[in-house]
Amino acid sequence: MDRFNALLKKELASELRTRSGIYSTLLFAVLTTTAVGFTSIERAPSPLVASALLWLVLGFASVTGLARAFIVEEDQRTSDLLRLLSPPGPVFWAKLSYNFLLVLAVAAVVVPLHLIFESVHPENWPLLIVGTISGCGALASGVTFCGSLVAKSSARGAIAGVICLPVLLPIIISGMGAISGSFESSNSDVVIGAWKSVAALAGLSLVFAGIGRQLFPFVWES
Amino acid sequence: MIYRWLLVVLSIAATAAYAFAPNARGWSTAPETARILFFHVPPAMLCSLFYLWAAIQGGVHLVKRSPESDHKSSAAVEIGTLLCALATVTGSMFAYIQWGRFWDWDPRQLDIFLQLMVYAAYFALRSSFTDPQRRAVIGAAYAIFAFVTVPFLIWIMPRLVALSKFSQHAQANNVVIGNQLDATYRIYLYSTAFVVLLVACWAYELRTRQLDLEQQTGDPIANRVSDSHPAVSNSGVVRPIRLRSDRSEADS
Amino acid sequence: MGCRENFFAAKNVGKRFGSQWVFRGVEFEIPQGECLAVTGPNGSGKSTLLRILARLEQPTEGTFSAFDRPRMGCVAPDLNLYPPLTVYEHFLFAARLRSVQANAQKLIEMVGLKGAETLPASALSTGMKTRLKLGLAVQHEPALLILDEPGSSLDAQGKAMLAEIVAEQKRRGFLILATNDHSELRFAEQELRLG
Repeated sequence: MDRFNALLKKELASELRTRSGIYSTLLFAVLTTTAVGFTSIERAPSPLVASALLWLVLGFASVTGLARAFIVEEDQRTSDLLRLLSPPGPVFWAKLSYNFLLVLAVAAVVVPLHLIFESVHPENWPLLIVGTISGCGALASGVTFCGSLVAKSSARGAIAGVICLPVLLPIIISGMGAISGSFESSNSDVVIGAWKSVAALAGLSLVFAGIGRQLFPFVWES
Repeated sequence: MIYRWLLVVLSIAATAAYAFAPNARGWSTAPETARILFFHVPPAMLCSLFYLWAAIQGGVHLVKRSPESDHKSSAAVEIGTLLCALATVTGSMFAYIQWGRFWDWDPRQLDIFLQLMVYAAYFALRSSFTDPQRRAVIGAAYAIFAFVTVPFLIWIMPRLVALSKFSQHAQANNVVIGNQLDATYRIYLYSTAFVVLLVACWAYELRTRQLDLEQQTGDPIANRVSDSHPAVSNSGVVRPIRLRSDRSEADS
Repeated sequence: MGCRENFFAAKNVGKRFGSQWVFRGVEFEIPQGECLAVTGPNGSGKSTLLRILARLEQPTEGTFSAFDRPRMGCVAPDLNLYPPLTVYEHFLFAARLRSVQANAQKLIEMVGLKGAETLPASALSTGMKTRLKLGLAVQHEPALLILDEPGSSLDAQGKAMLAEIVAEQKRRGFLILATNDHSELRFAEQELRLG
């Protein structure tokens, strides 16, 4: 636990001091939200389309921002120091937690902005908030592990997106179900279906994190 | 040896399926196209089996680090992806004839296509590593991680997605999955599925053997090297020379 | 290979990158308290051998008595520090990960970085970075210390400090040193020539 704290503190301290990662990820998310918002110039999109666009933005922002967690260690050649200092477990949990915080920060900016641009009004706030948080958890755990896979590759920057995105597609699909349900609370079937999607997202987060943690030592020491 | 007979069996089964299976009852458009079932459903069912095998062999590789398990795992992904692509293509052909569009956003169609995408990334990942040992470990880890999405896509996603209400394809799938096929169709379907399984296993075994052989005899690059770099001999031993025999000398 | 506590040994260690053997058949056995110097021209695989012994890389063939990571210290030119973290924070960070006393002030004094405690690693000169790495490598009093060309960026005062660290390590355990500097051979009891 002490190791985890030290590592998370190191992640936060190095990111907050350089700010390049956080700033570029947030800016990327805002820019894609704007571009995606063009779709609603003529008329407001349906709940399903609006939520699909939201998860598109969150998915792409995590691929560009979160996969950096391990890539940055290889780029500045600090991963060997980390390997010498710490066993793999705490490293994985610290990176995952940092990524979760980062994607939550992105969602905190992007979700309100998206609601304004698309002129959609959530009618079920708990569903929107819980759905977004569990979706962010699934994105963070999926991308953290996939990022660790590509980190050692010579083409890591180029292929990070290609490797992470397929795993994110199931998350995006479930996220669409959850968030679109929060836009139409009149239909109780839809709301129940949406909560099922939230459960699926939470399940995916746990399974991705659990399997990722089991496989990570092999990848880290390879 | 038995595989040679398989081709005969497959040809007979294929002919039988086309020639003797009756047209589907109660279909307004092109009832004869229901026969595509025999070539569409088996690959869709079997690709996940090969992905499961790839994950199992990936686990074996992580524990044992044997090249053979890596070959088995990657060959299984290759064959699984081939089946997955076949299922996608035959499925969209059928969708076009029946519903007038190649892509219907049906949960089953989507599930197979997403599996295809997840495992297509496997090849991109492997090809980005030059060191064979590392490539094998990373490939094995991804094969296991990727398989987590397969049960999700097959069993959970179709029950979640709001998409299913827009799809007409869902009914056609329920006929197969809900065991509502009539007896003739069921027999043909199971026998073609069995034949496709055997042929896929044959392809898998050939591919595994090819990879094993390439590793054992091939490795042409490695063989060339020991000739071109006589400085590094195969039998030579590099040992240190002693600079001082007495340790106290070093401290003084 | 069985790990006898009083010896650090390697047998038939070889490494191949793609098609090219860097070295093969490396064997040695060093008793506790001795230093092995690894020498050889550029590209002969000194750094690679040291990375293998530090368990940062897998050998293509061969075995050696492996130490647990917590019992090793390592300094190498490509083992980088965290650019935004300060000198002092590096010692705290490493100590918490190793579950040992940080001893930051004492170590900073020993490696001669007094006055630079609050500088981030990105603001340090190459020589100062080497000093910080040396301090980090001996913080937990490792049984095996691996030094890859430590003297190349150090000034006279730094080299004197290096000699102290070497003497202390030889009292404590094993030392492996890759070098092209003949004056550093005086630290070593055995010399392994690669290439």
